[in-house]
Amino acid sequence: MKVFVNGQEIILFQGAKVKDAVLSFDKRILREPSMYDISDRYGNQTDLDGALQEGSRLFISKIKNI
Amino acid sequence: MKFGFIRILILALFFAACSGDAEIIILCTNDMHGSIDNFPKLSAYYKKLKAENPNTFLFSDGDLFSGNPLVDQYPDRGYPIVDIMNRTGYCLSSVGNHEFDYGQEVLNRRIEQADFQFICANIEFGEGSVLKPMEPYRVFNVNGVIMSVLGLLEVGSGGIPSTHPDNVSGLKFESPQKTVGKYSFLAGGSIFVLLSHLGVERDVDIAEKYPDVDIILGGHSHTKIDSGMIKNGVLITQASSKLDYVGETRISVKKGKIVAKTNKLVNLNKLADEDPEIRALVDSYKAADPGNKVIGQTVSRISGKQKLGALMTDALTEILNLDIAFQNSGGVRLSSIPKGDITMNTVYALDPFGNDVVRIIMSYEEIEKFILRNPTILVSGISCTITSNGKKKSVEILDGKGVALDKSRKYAVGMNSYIYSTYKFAHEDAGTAMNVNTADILIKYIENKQTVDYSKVSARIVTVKN
Repeated sequence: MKVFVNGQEIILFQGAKVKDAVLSFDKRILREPSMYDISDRYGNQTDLDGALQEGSRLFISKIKNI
Repeated sequence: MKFGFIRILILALFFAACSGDAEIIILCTNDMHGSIDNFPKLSAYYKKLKAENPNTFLFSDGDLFSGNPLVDQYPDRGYPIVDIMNRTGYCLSSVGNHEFDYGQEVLNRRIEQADFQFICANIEFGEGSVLKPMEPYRVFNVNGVIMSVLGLLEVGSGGIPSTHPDNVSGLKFESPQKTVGKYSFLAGGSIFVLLSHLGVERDVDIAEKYPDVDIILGGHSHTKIDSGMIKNGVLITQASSKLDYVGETRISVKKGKIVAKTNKLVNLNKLADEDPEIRALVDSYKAADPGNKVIGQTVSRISGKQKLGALMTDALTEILNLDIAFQNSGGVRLSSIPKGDITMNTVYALDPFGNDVVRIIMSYEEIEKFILRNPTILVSGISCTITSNGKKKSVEILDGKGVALDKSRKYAVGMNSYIYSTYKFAHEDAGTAMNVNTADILIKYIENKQTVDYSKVSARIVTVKN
């Protein structure tokens, strides 16, 4: 299925989770996932184990140090 | 799900009489996945609200199971979390896709065990189904205010929920969108709630299509919706996952009409009060950690990536009936398993990542390219000899019987989701999640074998220079 991370198209298997999309986008993110904000198209934070569907859009941004 | 004209007529008359006032609170958790640590806090919070307002309800929006060995590997699988939910005071749960992970017979036992009701409107129970039929919805009468709650389950592109297909044999699943339309008469009461295990994007689709729905209590996508989203007038909520949060939805009804509906998330980790009875119960389950359970033996020490990788990939090919399985060497996290007993904790230490298995149908050419590009990959189902002649490489691939693979055939190949997502390789078939975790497959393999012997296993991919 086709999903999008920060606008980039990613092809994944049926039943893929947020974690799989993030790994495909940039596997380094999962070394320190707490440093990143992962949200859906509505701006809601989403869990790495969350389910995706065809056309899902994720947005990943690095959390700025305070 | 069948429902007759008379039943709808009775409900219509019932709804027509609906003109009361009520302040209703719904606490809803979703996607707990076996997490039990925060139940004492949830229980204390629920009981406090219930004491203040008797019209307080506690719902679950599915995926109670799969994610915590304490619950998943309990002798009667899933028993602990249903026991804790009973004593916490749940009154209703939808059915999530992971409710099927232990098989339909176990799910029947969990439903039988539950003091709360499971509802699901889009399962069609056929003659071959083991799962016993359940109600599609439940209607509550709160001081003359009628609240109808419809249960919905995610259906994937293959026409079944995200679980292993064997777990749902004999069952059919209707499109949730279509199902909502079929039960739209439930909007005739004061409050129409969907207990939706569909994911937030599908919830938004439903809200756009069915504005008569008042509230969607969501799950499946593990989305943290901080204070509810309003789409087309429908309040959509979801409380992340693993019992970190509970969603608190408040509904005010005057003369049978909703005058206010709000939602907030309560961070259970930040609450101080605990229910001591539930704390004792949770602690008793934690004390019975199944991690030290012996699942089988190895006749000799299994040492090194080649032998351990062979064990891990053999589990995939045998249990999941695959032709070939691949394992990345970096995912083998123990250097050895000592001779003697193998425990569940050993398996989780060997394979701690919780990766799913992905099944891809691959051509010979795709497999050949994959192996040439990843010569350190660990395999089952085949043995390979890579011949290197400077920059030119070729590979001879033999099956388990020592026969060359058929170049015109396609093969069912399994790999963990990490390999799929991070390795670059050509494959025409996009692949499908088998909705099983690699470590759980290895546990099942060792339990089935009881004794494993990898003393004579050597590298299954060798490179020779020509």
